[in-house]
Amino acid sequence: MQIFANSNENDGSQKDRRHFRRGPLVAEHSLDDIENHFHFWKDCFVTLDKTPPGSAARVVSVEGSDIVALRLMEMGMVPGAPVRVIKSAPLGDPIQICVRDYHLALRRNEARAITVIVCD
Amino acid sequence: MSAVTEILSGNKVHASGLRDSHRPLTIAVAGNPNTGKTSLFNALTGLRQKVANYPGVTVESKVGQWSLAPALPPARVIDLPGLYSLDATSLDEQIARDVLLGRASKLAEPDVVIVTVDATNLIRNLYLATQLIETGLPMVVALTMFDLAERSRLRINVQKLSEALGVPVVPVIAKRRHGIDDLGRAVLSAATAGLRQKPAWSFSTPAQNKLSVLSDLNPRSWQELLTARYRWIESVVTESAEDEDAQQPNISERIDAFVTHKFVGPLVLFLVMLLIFQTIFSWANLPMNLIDHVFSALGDGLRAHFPAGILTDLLIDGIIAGVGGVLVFLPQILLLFFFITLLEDSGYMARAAFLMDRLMRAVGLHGKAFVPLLSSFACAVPGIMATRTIENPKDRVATIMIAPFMSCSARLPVYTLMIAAFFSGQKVLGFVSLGAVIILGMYLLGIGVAIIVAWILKHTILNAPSPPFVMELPPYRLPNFGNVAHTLLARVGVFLKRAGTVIMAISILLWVLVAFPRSRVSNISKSDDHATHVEDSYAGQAGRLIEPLIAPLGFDWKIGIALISSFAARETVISTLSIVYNVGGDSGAQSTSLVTAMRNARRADGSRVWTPLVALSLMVFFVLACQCMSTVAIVRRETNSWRWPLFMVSYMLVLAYVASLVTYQGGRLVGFN
Repeated sequence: MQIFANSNENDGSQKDRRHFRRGPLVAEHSLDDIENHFHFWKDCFVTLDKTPPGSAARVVSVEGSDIVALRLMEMGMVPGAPVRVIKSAPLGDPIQICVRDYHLALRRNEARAITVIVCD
Repeated sequence: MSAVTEILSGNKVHASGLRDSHRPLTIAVAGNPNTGKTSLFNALTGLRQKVANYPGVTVESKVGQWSLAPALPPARVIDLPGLYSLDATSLDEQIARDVLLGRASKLAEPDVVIVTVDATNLIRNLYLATQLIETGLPMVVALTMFDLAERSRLRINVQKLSEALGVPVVPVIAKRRHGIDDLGRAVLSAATAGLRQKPAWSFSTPAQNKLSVLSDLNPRSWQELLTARYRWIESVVTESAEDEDAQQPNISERIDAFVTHKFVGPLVLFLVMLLIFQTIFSWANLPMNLIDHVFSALGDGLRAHFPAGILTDLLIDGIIAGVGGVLVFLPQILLLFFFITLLEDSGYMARAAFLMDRLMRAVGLHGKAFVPLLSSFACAVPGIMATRTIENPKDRVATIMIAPFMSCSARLPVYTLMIAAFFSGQKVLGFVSLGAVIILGMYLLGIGVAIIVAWILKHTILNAPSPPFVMELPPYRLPNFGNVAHTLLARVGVFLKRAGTVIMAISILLWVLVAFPRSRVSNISKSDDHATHVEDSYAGQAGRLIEPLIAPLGFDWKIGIALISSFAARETVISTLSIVYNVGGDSGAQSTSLVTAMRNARRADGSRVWTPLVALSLMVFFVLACQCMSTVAIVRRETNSWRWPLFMVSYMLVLAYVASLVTYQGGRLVGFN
């Protein structure tokens, strides 16, 4: 939870977040709510190279139409796939990640193509 | 018309199944890397396998024979390179795809495809399987690592999985030969049944039939297609597999806590490399010396029994010396490949590349270039063979091109001789021996030049966008020693057949250069007149011919002869110098008679031939020149062309000449002599 530094201010954040994930958004929430949620969630979307080690995340999107995106996706990094950053190599790059229960090494500039949502 | 629709249109051989029972079946084994594909292949074919290259490329093809049923001729089994999908991103994958879809020249399309699916990593492995199932090719899924899956309490309902996929699924444990017979039966019935209908769930609509060029579609639609496939696979796996221990932290991750740790990781890597280095550097010496002795004893023995003459000389100095020169590499190659296969099979190799990638990338190379380059300090030949682990062809060629700069063990005798003769007993800063400093300097010179050359190559002729560094870190597994033995045998076979023949040929050529023309001295008693004989030989004439060229480096024509002969192998420079200085027999690096002869050698004007500066200049030349026919031969074999070995020899020669020139002339300017 430590990555949601600002979420402690909001008492109901835990509940709201769960609700957000399941329920239909527009019907039940006021515009203000939606905006709050948006700001809250915006912080949770990060590219994989900036994801703190150890935190569980899910793939949101893989950018680009090139060979890198293709390779990443066919290795299982499709939207919704569980992914976890494990650590960086001693010199900071590449990084070791765990996707769908197997381990992968990729360079930071490739990890940048992957947007994830952190869901601790 | 795409290959798939061609297959579907149905008039190819296997549409009618086993029409001709006398025609051997062709079976392709495909699967993700590290899924036990090779173990399965070995279990199916035993020792009846052949390693060759696919036409025109350096990707290896392995074909073996499998006796499926007594009534049938043995089936041809093709072990394809590992691939993650049919949308090939690497050369290996392209080859595999072409063979599967029957597009490879000279190779019939397979009658049955066996897809290995790692039971411990179902989802990703099934991606390739679904793509293949969609092609409609007769297919059997071999569920490998089934024992590991059960041990980690992953329950797979094989029946359900098979129903969902629409193809037979056979669990196998290759190293214990469990399930091989079932697999055989499934393959036979798949071959008899012939082409299947497209599965109900197929994602490739007719428009996307050219599934193997997925990236031609617009990004949106291929991403959707890919995601849809994975969604479907996820639902299949949820239905048919149950992980009772999902939360258990896996063993590989715990090992990785040390092995890829910030501080411990590099230390482990250092120790592993030290062990390998120690082995190929010093422990291999024993068998190498043994081979050396056996062959020289054989030569001497034969010389005693055969009449002296050209034929005897050819047999002993040309052929037997040549065979010995080939075999002498075997201990190092065997040992290095023993370790490399062990590292690969255990999963450590990927970790080493992971640790070193940042450093290697600084010069534009892949993390996987680290191990081959380090091995080249012992000998460039096995080092260059080891570059096979680098998938990107340009990265691989760049690595091969700089491997010979690593000071190999053959240069050591040369350094030792020069230091014994001209720098012995001197100290730097009062306690460090000058010799040690110079040797260290030679190693650093090689590394430094390698870095610069790698950088230049990667920014000029080998310039290419670096391919994605998306590398699987496979789970740690105990290596299967049967597989290791298979790999070793294959490597040795390849080396003897391809490199061995070239080494032999050059060895005989060099013998001709030194032995001919048979001058007037040829029949006079041997050892005394060897020197005169060499002077008159083609090599001697060549030495005189190049004297003006090498004079600026501080070398006279006698050194010229040694240089020429050293292009066979660096260490021959010592025996050649022994011959031209006529010190005979004892030609070791520490030979006192040779050292004395060198110290006393005079030019026509009475000045000394050898000064410390000349020795230094010669050492620099030896660091940078590619004086090793075995390296040339192996580069020819590994790059599948003469272009790269010739380029390598010439650019290294130019570099060596310039560096040597700078050393000698620079040294004179500063006042050494």
